[in-house]
Amino acid sequence: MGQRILVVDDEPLIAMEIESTLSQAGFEVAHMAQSVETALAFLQDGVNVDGAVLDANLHDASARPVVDRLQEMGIPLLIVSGYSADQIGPWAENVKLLRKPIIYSELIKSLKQIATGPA
Amino acid sequence: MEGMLHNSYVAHGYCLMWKPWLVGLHGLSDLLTALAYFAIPVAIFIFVKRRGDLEMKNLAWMFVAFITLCGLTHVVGLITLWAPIYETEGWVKGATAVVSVVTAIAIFPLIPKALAIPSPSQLQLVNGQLTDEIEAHKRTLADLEAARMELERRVEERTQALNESQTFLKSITDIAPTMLYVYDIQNQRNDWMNRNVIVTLGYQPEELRAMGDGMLSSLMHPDDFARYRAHQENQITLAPEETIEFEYRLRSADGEWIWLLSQEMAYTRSADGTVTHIIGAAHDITLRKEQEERIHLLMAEVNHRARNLLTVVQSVARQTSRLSDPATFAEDLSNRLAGLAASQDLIIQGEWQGVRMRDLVTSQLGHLGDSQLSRLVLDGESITVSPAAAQGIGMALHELSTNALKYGAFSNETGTVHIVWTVKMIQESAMFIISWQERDGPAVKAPEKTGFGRTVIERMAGHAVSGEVDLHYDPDGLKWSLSAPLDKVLNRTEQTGRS
Repeated sequence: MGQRILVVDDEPLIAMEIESTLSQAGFEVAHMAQSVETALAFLQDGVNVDGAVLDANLHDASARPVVDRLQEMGIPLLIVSGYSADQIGPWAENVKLLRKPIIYSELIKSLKQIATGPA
Repeated sequence: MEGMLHNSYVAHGYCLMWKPWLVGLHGLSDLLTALAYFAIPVAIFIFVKRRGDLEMKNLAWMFVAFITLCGLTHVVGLITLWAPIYETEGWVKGATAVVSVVTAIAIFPLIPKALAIPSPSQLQLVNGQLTDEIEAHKRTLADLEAARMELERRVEERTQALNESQTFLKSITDIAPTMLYVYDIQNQRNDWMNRNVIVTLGYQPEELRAMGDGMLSSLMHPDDFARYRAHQENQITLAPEETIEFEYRLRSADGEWIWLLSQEMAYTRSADGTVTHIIGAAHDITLRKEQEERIHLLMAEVNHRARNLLTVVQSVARQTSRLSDPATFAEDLSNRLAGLAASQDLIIQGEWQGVRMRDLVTSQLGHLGDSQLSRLVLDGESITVSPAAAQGIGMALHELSTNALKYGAFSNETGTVHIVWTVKMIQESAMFIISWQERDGPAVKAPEKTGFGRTVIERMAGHAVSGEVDLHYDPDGLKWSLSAPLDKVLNRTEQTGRS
């Protein structure tokens, strides 16, 4: 069984492509959310997730509450965004950031690194 | 006559032999001389008394005594013609001699003094000269008065010209849309400023004066004040005609930061050439700075959206590439990018605020021919959807139409397509529903493999608007419908925000 990954992106085509690629690489996409509220709704206590890939802004809202929740739950995460780190803001400083368009080999490599870590 | 003979002397007439004419001559001469000699001292006495300021009065009194005594000798001489009083005559002559000698002795030392006394003619000459001089002085005074009047007229003219010039300058500095100032570098304060400084910054002149040498340090933005130190070094070494610029922020009276661009020149220098005062013009460039900031943000946003769109293209390409041979891939990708571009056009036209549903449908079916378009029925209310919804729904419509053209209602001559969209209340929630229904096409059968087109139709559109998709391959025609909460489809109000 592959590691369970949460994918959060407000752009369905991108979310679906991430999903396809992760599935092919052996991950299991646990859930696909397109907004802060649907992502938080999924992240209930006890949810079975090993990692998360998320966009930095979802429908023009910051993804920060989702990041905070993930960090609180100890779930490793990657941010994938068209924005640079300084554009996103200091809250994303300690989070691994990949720029869009996505280099999928790098996404897979980074996700393997964080999802197999101590957490 | 007999009586006279009993003296030892004889009368002087005797010596004259009593010739009557000779005695008469002597007697008359003595008498007249004596009278004259007595008259002259009287005249001198009167003169001296009347001329109280006369110098050498003592000499005058000596003359009075001397002449009187001379007169007395002549009286005695007259008497001796008949009475031989020679002894008396001798004593009188002696007295006269003493007074005469004393007078003679006294008169010589007085000659220089007497000479010093100006004569009336001299005085008249001097007087004349003085009168001339007075006349000359009067003329000079008149000239001076004229010159003074001329000077006053000129001063008045100059004063008026100066006033006009000052009014002109003040008007210019008052109307200038720029802050103008003269700054005292050493004392760190403004010596002069125009009205615009007050207008722009909002402080009263006395408030600025009260800040004293701390004016700039208390008004300037701390980041800019650090740079200002270096600017001040440039100020004191300014060459003539040289100008320097400085951009900085000052806090206005209402607490806002105002961006200023100052252009400065040397105004006054000390003896060693160091600039002591500068004259400057500060332009309010707040608007420009804000625009620069907006452009900067906009460029960042444009970059973000470009990257996002490239990622969408990347996703479409990757998904199209699966289950495709290279020729089909190129064709399908081109069509899908054209569909994306058509939606993008509408999104840009709507300035990222929203896209009208009818425009979206029309744009995605634009690739159809006239035959197909004549068999297309659109039925929907006027509704504007968000850019994200437009992109998702637009792609679904594009895939549905290309599918219909290949296998469905638009692949024969009789098939029709109905596209209907509406808003309905379902269980107290406003739902947006759009449906695609094909009729009279070739017999429908479900495709065996799931390609990108089907993924888009079945999942992506629903994902885009948090909706549900119904897809039925009915034998009489394909039926597709999407229902989503209205608030997920409608344009959001805060489209320009960023995370």
